Amino acid sequence: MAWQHKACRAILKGAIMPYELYELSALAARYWFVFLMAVIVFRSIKWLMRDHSNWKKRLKSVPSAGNVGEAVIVLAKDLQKQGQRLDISREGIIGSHKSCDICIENAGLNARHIYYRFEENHGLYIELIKNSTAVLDDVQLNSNNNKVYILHGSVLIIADIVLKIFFFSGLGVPFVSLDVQNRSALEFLEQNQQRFINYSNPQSTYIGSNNYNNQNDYAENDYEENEYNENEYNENKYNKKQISLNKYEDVVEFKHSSQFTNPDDMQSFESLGGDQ
Amino acid sequence: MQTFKTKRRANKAASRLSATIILFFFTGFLLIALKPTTNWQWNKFIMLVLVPLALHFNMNILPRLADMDRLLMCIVNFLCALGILILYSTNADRGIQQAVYYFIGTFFMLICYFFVRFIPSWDWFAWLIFPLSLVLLISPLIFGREINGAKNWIIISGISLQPSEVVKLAAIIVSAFAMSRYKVLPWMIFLFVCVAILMLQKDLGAVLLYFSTCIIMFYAASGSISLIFASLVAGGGAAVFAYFRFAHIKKRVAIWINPWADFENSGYQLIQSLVAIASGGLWGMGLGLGNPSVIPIYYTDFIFSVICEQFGLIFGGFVLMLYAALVIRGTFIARSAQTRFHSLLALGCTTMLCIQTFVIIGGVIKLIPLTGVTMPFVSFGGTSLLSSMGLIGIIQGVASFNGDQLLDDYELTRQDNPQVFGGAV
Repeated sequence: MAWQHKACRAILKGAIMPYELYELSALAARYWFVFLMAVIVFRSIKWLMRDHSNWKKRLKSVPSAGNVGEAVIVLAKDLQKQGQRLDISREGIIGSHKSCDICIENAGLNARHIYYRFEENHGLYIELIKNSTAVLDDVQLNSNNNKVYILHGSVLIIADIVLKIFFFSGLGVPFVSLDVQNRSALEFLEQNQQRFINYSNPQSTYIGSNNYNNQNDYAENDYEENEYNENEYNENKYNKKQISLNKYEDVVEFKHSSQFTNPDDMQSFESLGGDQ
Repeated sequence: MQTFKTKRRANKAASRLSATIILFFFTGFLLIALKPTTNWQWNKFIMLVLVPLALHFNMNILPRLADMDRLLMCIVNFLCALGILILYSTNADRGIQQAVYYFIGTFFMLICYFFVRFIPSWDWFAWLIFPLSLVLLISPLIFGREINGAKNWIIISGISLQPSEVVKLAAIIVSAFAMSRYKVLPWMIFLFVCVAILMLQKDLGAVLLYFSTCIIMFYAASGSISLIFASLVAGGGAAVFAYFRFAHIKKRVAIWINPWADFENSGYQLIQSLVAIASGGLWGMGLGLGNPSVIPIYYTDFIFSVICEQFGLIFGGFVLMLYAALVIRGTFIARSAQTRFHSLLALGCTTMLCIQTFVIIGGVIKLIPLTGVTMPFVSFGGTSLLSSMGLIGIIQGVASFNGDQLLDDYELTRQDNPQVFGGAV
């Protein structure tokens, strides 16, 4: 083994060049290194650009990528907001500030109101920020609540906004109880209105109507008790007719209906198959 | 079919890039191996084989095994290997030591990656590392020692450690956690205490890194211009206070303004750095040539000057472009993240690396006053390399999450399976 070791060493020693030759090689190799470096940088940038365009393409083909469901505004003081669909990401904040993941411009909402995080097979875990309040499926929430989950079909009331939450299928989110499913958003709001100061505002469309048997009665009495003008009445009546939203299809229908604010457009709405 | 094609094209691009990188370092180490020396060194040939092999493993095998971002791995491994090559060409022992740190760093990166990937809940962990990192940060003040004007080193059974480098990771995790839930007050207390401790240790570079990273993360989370403005005013005030309070900061500013005023003492290091960059010219002096050892502490803070001296300014520019590509990739991963926490985590790590690179290269080329931070992945130092690799491990963890979630979304919403709303189906 000793002779093999010696031979190997001699061969390698012979391969070592004199200093002058090394200097020459190092000087020549500078261009080689710069060339290789240029290739590395070029390929990296090309890769970056290609990935970026692929990402854009993928987002186009999967527009809901990153979202787990939708929150639909089924009732709001601001009629323009009714029927609005808001994407729910896997984690984020609901609030009135523009940086929030679910931004709802409303005076009753804190800048950052609720923190939420999606947990597979459980639902949307929510945590109220600071002194925020909310009502989830008839349960009053505050910052002391532990582990509260929004389920498929849950109704969340924040300030004067009623949100109905839907999750995409395949995520394993359980349905909310049948009792909640069968109740209209208006019922929720009526039952919980006393919990919010905002609802004591006499100008509010939805107050002062606690004991109605059905929504049509509510709309008629609303007109008689509060001196709204005819246009307001028609608008409100019109929207309230669509408030019983237990299925997603209803929400879509409702969204269509919310585009019509003029009572003359009723005919157009009926042609879409709206409720009468 | 489309996905298969895209994947095949990506694999081809990755193979080409990694092959070029391996060729670069094989040539580099071969040239160093052929350099005549007074005594025979077997380790030259070991390095010639070992470094390209390690690169092949890290760039081609590891990303497939652990589902990592290959471009990020290629860039990071290139920079690490460049550090080893430069250090080995100037001092063989230091190069070998750096290679050992590189292997440990890879292991640490994997730990961070698996940690981000598989930790079930961050709630308890974030609150746990909050006090732990503060204790770690205070430790040099109690039983640390002062090196280069800053008392930020501790020695545990002969091994020197810089806690501020390790706490960097903890600071990012705590900040991302607090900001994702908008728990501003605990985060502000944490940041204030960290910065105050670092100020007491006279570690100006770390203060700058922590503060800038947290401010950028805060802006990304809140979008609040007024709070950012207030923070910048507070930061500016703290900088002015530090200038008048600490003599070594005043000295560094004076050196930055005019290093020639005291060219034999305090300005010597910066002048030698500038001379080295200038003597390299556009194409450099050649690998293993030149005289980098005249720059004091050339192997940590001034490694960029050595790169420019040996490989030239064009090469130096390409190195900066690679750092830029790394930052763009990190930002891309942060943007693609599907949760607020992961997004902030990736952004924080990327910002930290970006600011660190800017601060040290800016200091070396006399763009800003010099602060004692290392050049990520390239500079000599175990703690620095470990923390940089840890940051990459966190980004890789987020990237892996993104890939998984995108695949889930694609399955749920693909064209032939229209997206349906429904509960547990």
